[in-house]
Amino acid sequence: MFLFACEKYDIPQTYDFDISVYYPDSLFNAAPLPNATIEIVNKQTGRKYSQFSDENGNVHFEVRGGLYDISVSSKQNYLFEIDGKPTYKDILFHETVFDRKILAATQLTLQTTLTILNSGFVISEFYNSGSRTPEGESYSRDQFIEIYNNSDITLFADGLCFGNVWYKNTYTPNPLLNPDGSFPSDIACWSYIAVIPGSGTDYPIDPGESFVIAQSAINHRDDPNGNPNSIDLSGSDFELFIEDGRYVDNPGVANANMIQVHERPFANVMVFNVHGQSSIIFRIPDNNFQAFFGNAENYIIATGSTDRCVLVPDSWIIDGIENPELNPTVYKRLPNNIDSGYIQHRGKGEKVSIKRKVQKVVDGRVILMDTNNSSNDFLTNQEPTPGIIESE
Amino acid sequence: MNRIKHITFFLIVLVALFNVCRANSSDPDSLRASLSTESILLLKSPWSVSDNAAGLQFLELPHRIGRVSVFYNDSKGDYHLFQQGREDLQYGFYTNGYTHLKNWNFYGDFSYYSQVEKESRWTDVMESYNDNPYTLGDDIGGKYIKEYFDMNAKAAWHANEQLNVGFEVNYQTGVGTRRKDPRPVNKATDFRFKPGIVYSINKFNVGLNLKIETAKEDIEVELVADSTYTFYHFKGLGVFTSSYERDLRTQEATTFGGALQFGYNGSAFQNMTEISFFQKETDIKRGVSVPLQVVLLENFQTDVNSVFLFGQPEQTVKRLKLSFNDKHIYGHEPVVEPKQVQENYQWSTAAKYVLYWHQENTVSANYDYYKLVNNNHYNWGMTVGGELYTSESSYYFVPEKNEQQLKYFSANAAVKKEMLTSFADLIFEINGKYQKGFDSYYKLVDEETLLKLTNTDFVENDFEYYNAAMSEIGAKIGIGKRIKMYREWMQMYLNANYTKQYSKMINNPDRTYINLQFGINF
Repeated sequence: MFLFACEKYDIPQTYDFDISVYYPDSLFNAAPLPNATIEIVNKQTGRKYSQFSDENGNVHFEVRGGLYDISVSSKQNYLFEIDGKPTYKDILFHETVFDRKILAATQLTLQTTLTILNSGFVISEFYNSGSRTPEGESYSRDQFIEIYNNSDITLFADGLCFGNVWYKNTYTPNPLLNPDGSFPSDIACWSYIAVIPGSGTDYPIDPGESFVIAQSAINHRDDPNGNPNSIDLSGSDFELFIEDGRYVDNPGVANANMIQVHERPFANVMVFNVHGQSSIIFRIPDNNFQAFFGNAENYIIATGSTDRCVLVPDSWIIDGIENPELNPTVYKRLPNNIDSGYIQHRGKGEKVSIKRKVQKVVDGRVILMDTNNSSNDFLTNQEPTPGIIESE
Repeated sequence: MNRIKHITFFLIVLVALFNVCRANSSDPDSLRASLSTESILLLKSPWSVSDNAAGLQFLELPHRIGRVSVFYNDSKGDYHLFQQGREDLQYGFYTNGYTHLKNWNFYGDFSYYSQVEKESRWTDVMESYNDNPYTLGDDIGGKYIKEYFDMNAKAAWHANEQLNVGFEVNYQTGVGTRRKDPRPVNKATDFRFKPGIVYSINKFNVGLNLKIETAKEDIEVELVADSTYTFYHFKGLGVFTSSYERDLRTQEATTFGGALQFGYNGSAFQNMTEISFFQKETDIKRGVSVPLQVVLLENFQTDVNSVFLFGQPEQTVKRLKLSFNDKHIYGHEPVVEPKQVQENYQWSTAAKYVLYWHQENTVSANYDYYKLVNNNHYNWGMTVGGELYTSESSYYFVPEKNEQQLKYFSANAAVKKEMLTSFADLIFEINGKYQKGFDSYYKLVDEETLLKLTNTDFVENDFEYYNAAMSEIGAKIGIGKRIKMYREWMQMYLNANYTKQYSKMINNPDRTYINLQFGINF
């Protein structure tokens, strides 16, 4: 008891962490995937280690014990025939593992999945936190989403759909998963689905251009019922106006077609969770809206609630962003093939947006980062700048 | 309401104690205590530094000694540690007393004080520097207001010529908050119990005491406006994690330890040597429904104190105190956060690493020389001393680490003069101290992501606080005036202390200390 204290513990050591990555089963007989970027991130320190896989698909790290997020990505260009014309498309081989425990020397084998990159519309900025009035009240009618043409051809916004994923609390398990824990093939959206109007060629979006869909397209700073601490959305391209809804119509801004999803009297606005909101943009084949939204079989009542949701097949989804609310515990609402990561912001009333990073600038055209992983692709807690695409 | 209850209760106890002591007094017209009585009492026994309450029997308590006072302490200036305020103001009430009753010696003290730390930042805990680097803080800061109650009681029973038995109980409680968002709300309690015995054979004594202590602090952060703030969970050597969450944070500490004493009472010299050891575990958790552990902090501490009194201290006190302190502190942190498992809603277990390491040694020597007039007054006195401090700290990111080696020495001296005049009892003192680091360094990680987890200002400030040369000079004056109350002679007194510190840190900051104490010795 009275002995002098001595060093009774060992200095913490690193462990060998070996990862082997492979193509999907459907390609090259699931051969090793060379030259893939493998990034591991320590959850506590935020430290990132990044390496390329060797010709045998292997990488070796030496890391401290802890929890790690692991992501694999390899973008490769393949020739396809589309409409009878040879077309090069980017294919992303990717896989993500969250919260992998490393407490000893570890060998991990990962088989990637593939996603054909759309090279088209991507969500470039997402602002759902809302702001605060000078009196400190929460103000959320200034929410918006900005969609960017990341391709090198002109795209048309006509018929593009935007939906908010049914969320519940994202720090509790997702009740809509399959019994085996996998994601269902349909994504449940609720409240309203916003559809960009037009006959197909009314709203061209040039390469490197974007359009803004606002909850209420007014200058919130100047409006008598607005908020001087908010932002100016009067220059938006579309607004989410609902007849007899909560917000006034700005006749100078086109209204999105609002498809009501909920059944019972509910919020007369399209609901965004100010703490965090996962959202998707998608297209319905042949723009057959009536067939899809008019079919009762496409709707469910979400487990454990009375919320009616519409089920959007994930193969229709063009882009999605997983934005869970701020909590150390996160249960995803979108599968990895839509967003293999997630990104959080500071929370309600913080007037912060999530912006996609710039990957590069080619001949003056900004190409935004799109690795199908919002943890990598987005910056969080940014000053909202609707309609402005920064080049750095 | 709690404060009023405590004060009312204490005043009742004080009045009762005073009357009991007066009833046992055999010489009601004599002066019971003066400005110097308590310090002379403690100087004349080597057991006064002991952890063993039974050692109270080795103090010469011919009668009761008591003091009741109000005080005001203010320190202000830019020379301060990173988590300390630029100004620290305390005011409150303090009383203590010694008394002898048959075979018992008693000691007790009580204090209530309010503390206002102005321009305080980076801390939301009651005590930032108490060998626990795992603190919570925010970068807003402001005026931190704290209140403390501190009660201490010792009793020693002289069973027979060989055996003395004693115990000590200490209870402290404190609350703290700021009046601007974000507002930490702290509630801290600390209870300590130390039983002990001393066995004497002729001129030799052997003692043993145990120490059991429990302490707890709850920290909540409240907001009036619905805003979000960043909170920093510091971990040592400036390392932190940040979050926006305002979880309840609890710090629970348990201490077990003990001490051995060896005493010698000869004609040429007296000695008391004490070797004490304790192990303290501090468990820090966040959250209410399912608290998650932030760290388990272990502190192993060994102290050796040896006090010599040369000659017979009736007219002259020649006292040498040698001290050695050894500390080892380890922070066991979960490196795998407990996580709610989706299938069964349970929390998976956490794996831990020892990420914070700290070792320090302090060696010091102090020599006091006093010419006494009697047990209540001295003619003059002086104190000289020196201290050598060495420490090594590391915070591991694995395998990289922040590390710091800190070595400094300090030398201090004081000269005191007491004058008995027909008007009043006067004490003058001048003192000084010099401190300087040597062979010290700190090295932070190079890796950018990890370096972002280190508050470099924190590390640099606290390193330079000790490493840079610091000079201190001070003066004290005490005035005591005899008064008669209820047929008792007492002494009304005022102690005033002014100290100035000058540091060679960047920008040459300084700090001024003013202490005033007004009260009655009885």
